[in-house]
Amino acid sequence: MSAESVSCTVKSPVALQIGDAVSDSSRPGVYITDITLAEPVNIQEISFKNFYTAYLTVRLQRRHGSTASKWVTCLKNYCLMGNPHAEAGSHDYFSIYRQQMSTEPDNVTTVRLILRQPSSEWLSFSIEEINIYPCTKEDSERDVPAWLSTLTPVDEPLDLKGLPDPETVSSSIQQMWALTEIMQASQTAASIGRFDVEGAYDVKLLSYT
Amino acid sequence: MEEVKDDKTYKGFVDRLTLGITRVLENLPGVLDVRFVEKAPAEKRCLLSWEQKNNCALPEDLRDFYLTTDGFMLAWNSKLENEVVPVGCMMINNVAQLRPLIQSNVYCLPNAPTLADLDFDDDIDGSDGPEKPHFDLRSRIFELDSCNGNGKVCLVYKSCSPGVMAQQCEVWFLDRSLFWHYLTPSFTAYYRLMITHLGLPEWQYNFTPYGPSPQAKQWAALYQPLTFHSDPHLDTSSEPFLNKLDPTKAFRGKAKPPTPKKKQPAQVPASGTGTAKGQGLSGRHSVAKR
Repeated sequence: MSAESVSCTVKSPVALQIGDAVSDSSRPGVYITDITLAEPVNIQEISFKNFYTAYLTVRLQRRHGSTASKWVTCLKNYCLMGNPHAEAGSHDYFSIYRQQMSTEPDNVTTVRLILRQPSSEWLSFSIEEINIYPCTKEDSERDVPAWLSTLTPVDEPLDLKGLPDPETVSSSIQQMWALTEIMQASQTAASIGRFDVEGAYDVKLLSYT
Repeated sequence: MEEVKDDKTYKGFVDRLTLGITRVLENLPGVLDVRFVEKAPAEKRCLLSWEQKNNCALPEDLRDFYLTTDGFMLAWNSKLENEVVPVGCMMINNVAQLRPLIQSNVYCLPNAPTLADLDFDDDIDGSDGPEKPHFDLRSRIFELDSCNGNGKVCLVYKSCSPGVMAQQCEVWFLDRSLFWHYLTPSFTAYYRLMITHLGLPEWQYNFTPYGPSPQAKQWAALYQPLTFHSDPHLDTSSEPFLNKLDPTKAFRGKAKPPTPKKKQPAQVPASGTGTAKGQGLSGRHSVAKR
């Protein structure tokens, strides 16, 4: 997208574990990253680069005017890696658009990204280069995008510089095609004399001719 | 004499408790150091104390298990080239270690991430399977096995109300990323599954959509060849196409019928000198024709 991203603060990921964290020696499989927006935004797109995260859940904190802000889940367990044990999708760039979200991402103050990786293959996992793009009213005003306006108009006559007349060329090609058809139809049935027996040449036969 | 009797009794007890798996393991190739740690039975008052403290009734089979032995530990190693690698580990926590799993209170900030972020209230997409446990007061979760850090096997009581003793429980697997996967409806069934899978690494991941890691699959292919091939994950992927070489088709010889010639019967009975004469004759014939 050509639009500028929203200014936001990406906090460091927080590991989420269950049970006694002190005695638990296992590496966490869930990280939560909070992104604080400077002002409430109507989100159009969230783009990021993956680093071995298998599943992503997006939760938004929306402001409801006078009432307190509320957390909603707009994307649930979005699959980033087809197989958590394999490399496919581990370094891809992803974009989550407004249409993919289950709720309207309007008046958002905080974005919470829940990263999950069930496989023990990877030592660490995260997402990087997080950008959030707002909805712009400029998009609706423009009828035709920029790349469409560069197309050549159809009604403009073609410039035949240095080329022969297409009518003459067309009639000549048709005559040649007719001659080719006549040649195909007048093939003789007589075969050319050959000294091959069942597809193989016998050298001894040649000496008696 | 008494020592011999005690030893035989002990071995019989171990065989019956582990369903004879120690004997099976000792006969497998490359298996070393099959260690079964004997533990004393738990006292009845400890079980009652646990039930009163956690407000959950232990199932009958688990109660009988703890009255037989307080916890379970069976580990075995494998010889790999010149190294001894710890491979198998079957473990069940004792009554004291059967603690309720709650979120660690490391972060006390308001608006901090909690386990509630992982709990989805709308279980519409999850309606095909059994209802998953929750991380709040609706479920009571106790850890049976820590799986060497690759998740947790949990004893789960669902649909709990505060102040009411929970009766029904199931065994679920909570993986590294805190996804729930259903294992068995009873402790006995889980115990049998654990014994059957020989305590191989990440065997619980067979009950997840993604399966175990490639290393764990290697160990399973080595020590569980029959059950490994019947893995449902392999059935979903189609069998790879194998190129079959047909040697008769590839190296087929060409059958060539002999051409009848006028001079051939004259040349066949001739000796070496006769062959030379034949060549001279053919030369003369060409000269005459010209």
